[in-house]
Amino acid sequence: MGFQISDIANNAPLFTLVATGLVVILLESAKSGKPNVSFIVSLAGFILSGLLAVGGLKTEDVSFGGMLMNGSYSNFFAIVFCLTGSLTILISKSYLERFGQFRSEFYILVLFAAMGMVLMASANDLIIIFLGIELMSVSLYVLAGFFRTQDRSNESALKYFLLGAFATGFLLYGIALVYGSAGSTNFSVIHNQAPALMKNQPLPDSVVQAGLPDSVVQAGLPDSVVQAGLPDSVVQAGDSGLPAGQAGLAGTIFLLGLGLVIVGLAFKVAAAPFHMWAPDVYDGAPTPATGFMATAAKAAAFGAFVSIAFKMIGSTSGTISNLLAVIAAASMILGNVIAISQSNIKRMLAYSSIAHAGYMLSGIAAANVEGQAGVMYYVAAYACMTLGAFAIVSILERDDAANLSIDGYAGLSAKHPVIAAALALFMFSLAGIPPLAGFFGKYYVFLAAVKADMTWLAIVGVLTSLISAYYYLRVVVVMYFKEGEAAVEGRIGMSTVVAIAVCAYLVVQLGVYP
Amino acid sequence: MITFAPLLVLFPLLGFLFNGVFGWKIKNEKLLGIVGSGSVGLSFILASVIFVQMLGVEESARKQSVEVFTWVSTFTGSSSSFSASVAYQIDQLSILMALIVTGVGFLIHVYSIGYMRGDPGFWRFFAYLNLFIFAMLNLVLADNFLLMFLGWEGVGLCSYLLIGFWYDRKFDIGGEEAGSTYTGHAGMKAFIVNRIGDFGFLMGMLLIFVTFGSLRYDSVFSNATIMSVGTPVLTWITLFLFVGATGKSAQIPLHVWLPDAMAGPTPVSALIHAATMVTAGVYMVARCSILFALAPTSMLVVAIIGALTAFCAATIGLVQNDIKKVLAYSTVSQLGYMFLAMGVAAFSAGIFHLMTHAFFKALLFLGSGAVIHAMHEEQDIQKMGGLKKYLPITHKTFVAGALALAGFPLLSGFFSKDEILWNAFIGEHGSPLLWLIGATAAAFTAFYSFRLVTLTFDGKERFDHHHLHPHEAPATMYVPLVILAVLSVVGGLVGIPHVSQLEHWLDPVFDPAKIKLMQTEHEGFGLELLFMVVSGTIALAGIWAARKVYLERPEVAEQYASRFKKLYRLLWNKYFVDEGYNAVAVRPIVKGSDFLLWKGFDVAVIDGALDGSAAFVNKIASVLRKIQTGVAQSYATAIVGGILFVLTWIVLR
Amino acid sequence: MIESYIPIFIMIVGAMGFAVVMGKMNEFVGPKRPSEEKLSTYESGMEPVRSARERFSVKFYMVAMLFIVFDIEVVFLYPWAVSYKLLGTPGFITMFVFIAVLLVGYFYVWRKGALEWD
Repeated sequence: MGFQISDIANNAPLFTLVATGLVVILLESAKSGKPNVSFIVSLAGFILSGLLAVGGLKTEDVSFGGMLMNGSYSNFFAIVFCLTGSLTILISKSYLERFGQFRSEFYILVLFAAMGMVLMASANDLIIIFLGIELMSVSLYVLAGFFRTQDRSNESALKYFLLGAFATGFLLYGIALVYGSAGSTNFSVIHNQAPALMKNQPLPDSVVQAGLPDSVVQAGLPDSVVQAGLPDSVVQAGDSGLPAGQAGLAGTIFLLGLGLVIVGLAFKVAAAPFHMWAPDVYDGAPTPATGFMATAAKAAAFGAFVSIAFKMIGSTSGTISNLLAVIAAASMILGNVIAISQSNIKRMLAYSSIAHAGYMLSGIAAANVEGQAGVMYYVAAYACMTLGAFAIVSILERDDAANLSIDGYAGLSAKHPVIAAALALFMFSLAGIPPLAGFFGKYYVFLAAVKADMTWLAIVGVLTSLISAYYYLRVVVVMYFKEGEAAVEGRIGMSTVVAIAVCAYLVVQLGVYP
Repeated sequence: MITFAPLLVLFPLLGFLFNGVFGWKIKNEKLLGIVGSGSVGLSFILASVIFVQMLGVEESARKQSVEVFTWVSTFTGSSSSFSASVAYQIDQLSILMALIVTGVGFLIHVYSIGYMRGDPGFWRFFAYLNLFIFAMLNLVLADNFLLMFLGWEGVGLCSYLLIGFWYDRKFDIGGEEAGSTYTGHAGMKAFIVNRIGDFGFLMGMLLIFVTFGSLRYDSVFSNATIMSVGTPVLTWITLFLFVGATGKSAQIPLHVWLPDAMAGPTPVSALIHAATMVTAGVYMVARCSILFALAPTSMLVVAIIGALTAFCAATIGLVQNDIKKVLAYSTVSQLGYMFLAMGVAAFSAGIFHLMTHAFFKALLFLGSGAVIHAMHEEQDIQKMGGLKKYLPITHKTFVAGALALAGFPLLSGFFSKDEILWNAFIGEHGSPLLWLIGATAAAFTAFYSFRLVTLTFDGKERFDHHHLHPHEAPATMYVPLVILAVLSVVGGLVGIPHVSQLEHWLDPVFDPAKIKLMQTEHEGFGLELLFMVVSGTIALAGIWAARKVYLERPEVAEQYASRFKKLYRLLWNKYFVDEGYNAVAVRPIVKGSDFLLWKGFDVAVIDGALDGSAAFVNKIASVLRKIQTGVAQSYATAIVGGILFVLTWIVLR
Repeated sequence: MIESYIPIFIMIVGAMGFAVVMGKMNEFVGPKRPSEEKLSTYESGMEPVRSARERFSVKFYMVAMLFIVFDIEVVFLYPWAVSYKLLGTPGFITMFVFIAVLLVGYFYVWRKGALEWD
């Protein structure tokens, strides 16, 4: 087995997060009740990790015996996570203080969730994907219920946990089926076998042999472990001794497994029809946590999604692509249409996030290079604009969780012109109005869809984003064209302002120089 | 000088930034007004200098492109990589458009200083106007479709902001469902209808990129020239682009937003909804003339939609009583003429009409603004009359504009409209039928424009003297009126057939299209002259009829209205298009979202479970209970349903 | 292959047989003087049948969760211990890090007072 120094160097962003997390825990244990210190240390950790990720953009390597793949892809996502993580921390400070819940645990949980996310994005093995998802999800469950005394927060956490566990079960089942049919959980190995499996051809001997025991050995485990770990039956299933009829079965099982893996990930990105949890959870969770969930967690799930679609499946499969396209279309339609009738801004943003999951999925469904690049761009753009919107919501939210209705934003432009302008900017970007970031995100993924001969998907996308303009602009109309009493209670935290400014800057920057 | 072209665009942007950022602090309206109009004025001067310089060089050297910076480039590095620059193309067509936009824009800015005096949103108004000019210049000067689209969306946004400028005011949407609604909603309507058009543009753009692998005009158009006539993909591209054009230029069936857009301040109506923005669709079709030339089907569609719009809008204009509504429908109708010109491949004639229309329609709107100003926000022409003696300057200029609109011989509107009609008769896709529709609409145009003049300025004074003392507008308002009046009168002279240079000036831009159409110069000078006489007669007859009816025998109009009651109702209600849209599209979407998904699902299932659990059960229990009995299960059921769907999909693939 | 499991099989049968025989023997040999208390189900001294709608002290959950966490740690140690020689120094370092991380958690739990019952 063994690991090399390069393993650690390659994963520097990840290990920085781990170390920061541990340090914050220790600090909190040593001297309880100093959240300011945790705040600063976590922020520094995120920034350092982000910088290391920027430095690692150039190197392409695998580490830990092929379990992780590091390079521009994983580091790009690591940057996104560090950015959203640090922005979440900035937003949370004044919000938590206002609610009397300013505790270090918030930062610990955000750090741990970010670790899971980085794992997901750099995974080169289904097991690592699973590990990352669990690390992230468990942290997020707790974050959702962070306001222990609030019923809404509790409800949100419990719902998220129950449904999340449910979906994770299917994900794991899917992984098991993939392993059973392809004989490995490693992306590179599965990638070699996927074409044959999907055509329902019997596996060539060489592939199977390369596939099962060898790969595990290559991964560095000693023979004894292999033998102890793998029951005979599994070995036999992977053996080339399959009769012709059963070879077709392996292909079906492989696809079924993929289907379940997609279900599990679709739950995490809140794509229809696995989206039902999102509005309730987003509504109940503390607003900065919601922002983090809606952006970073979604980005992470897409990171895993793209890895699986491109690194594991690789060759385009009509069945899977069409399936993803259908899910994408359903998400876009459902999310955008229901969002129209929402009066609570957090629920509205939740439905909007479902719709945006649909847009991004159409990039994956396209299964071409443009799609991959489009999704990556979209993830970054979406993170900036949505986090910015949630930051502003967090400023305006009051003690009893009131003032979340969109009508409550009436007259905001008169009282706080800068905040209103920033929110308007994010809304315009979400609606996809050029030259803001949201427009190019949509443009890239739709372009990818058109190139992949999925023009219908692009049409659905453009039409639904047309619908979406209605509810995004309603916020702008209410802020600017209606008289009202919207006002911020108390002082606006400096750190939140910084976070909003960064988001706004990035939304414009990504739009003008994509 | 051409290298300074980006400055053209930069000045209004600077004006916008100044007014937008510092405006709310500066209380000095003079300074704001000077910065706002000055920036546009500078652009106009620069555009004129470039224009003069272009006159001096030979034809082939007139088209140039200036790249500012590379805007978008895909980071995939794949073979079909995609890039677009912020680059401006100066050629005969775009410089002409830039001159119109900055010239008319400058006059309207000056006018607004007087019109908006004392408004608390003065700085906001000028910031928006400058932003609009900036976006509009991007639209016309862009050298690729993406930048054009940016401008396209930008002008839409400004239009939305400016329509809803007086967001707290109510206005009357007219027709039988008359009732007041907030101007903010008119803005929303404009924006949403425009988004439908934008969808067309975007799809067209995507198709162009997929087909030609580029979005630069140069490469797209030069690649297009080698394609054969009637290639299906070109038909699709042009039809999608035309959907975009109908949205922006208010053509049937997307014309509904423009009349409502009159809720905005009058200078806005003049600048955006008459002179410049609404002509963007015409400009776009002209810019893509080569693509349209290769798609005969699309040309025919354009011509038919244009003719129909010209006719229907003119008939609606006959019965409206709101001074701005009449002008709005007149604008829709005149835009119809321009599309008719595009459809029959008379591109220069269309652009010519675009120019003269910008002069006289801006004039009419500004004149109506002066009237409304004088009448203290009264817009109903039935409550006016006899204003001639109170507003002498406004009256004279307004009549000049109306004469030009009606096509009074030798005024600007006469030449441009006549040329379109002549081409509709004899041009590529022309037919006597198109000519007939156009000529009838021209008669209606003459009639309604003089109905408007007569009811407003002549006859008895039908307003309350005790409360209203109409007075002439200040100099900042009437000076632009006079300048525009002069332009309306003489502006046509640059485009007199066989004499002037405008046609030949634009020739290089449209030559590729003309070659494709194998269009030859139509002979028959005598016939053309005859048509001019016919057009002139039609205009004179319409004017005469309107004067006769409304000056001498007002009862005739009422008699006709009651005799053709159904027809009158149909026109008064604008062919019930709004009602139709409401019934077919708006209500089902809003209601469907409301009832089915929200009330049906969210309220019934989720809230039902919540309310169902007894109120006095303690809260923790209610949370737990909900999870065990109601909600989460239904969520899980949905997930299972989804999983079943996925698995079935795979098994049955 | 399967033959090598025969001793284990015999062992299982022997153990089960012993348990059954002993239990039954008790039934035959022992004296029986039943009372109400004696007839009720034995459940660690708690009343076996009650309303299910009752609140537990959160401390129970706390302890249970902590138990599971550290229990899993121990379970994880077994395979490492078995193949300790094979894994060598890197394995040792890995395991050391693993335990150190858990120790940080333990420290946190301790300082936060989750281990104190009152």
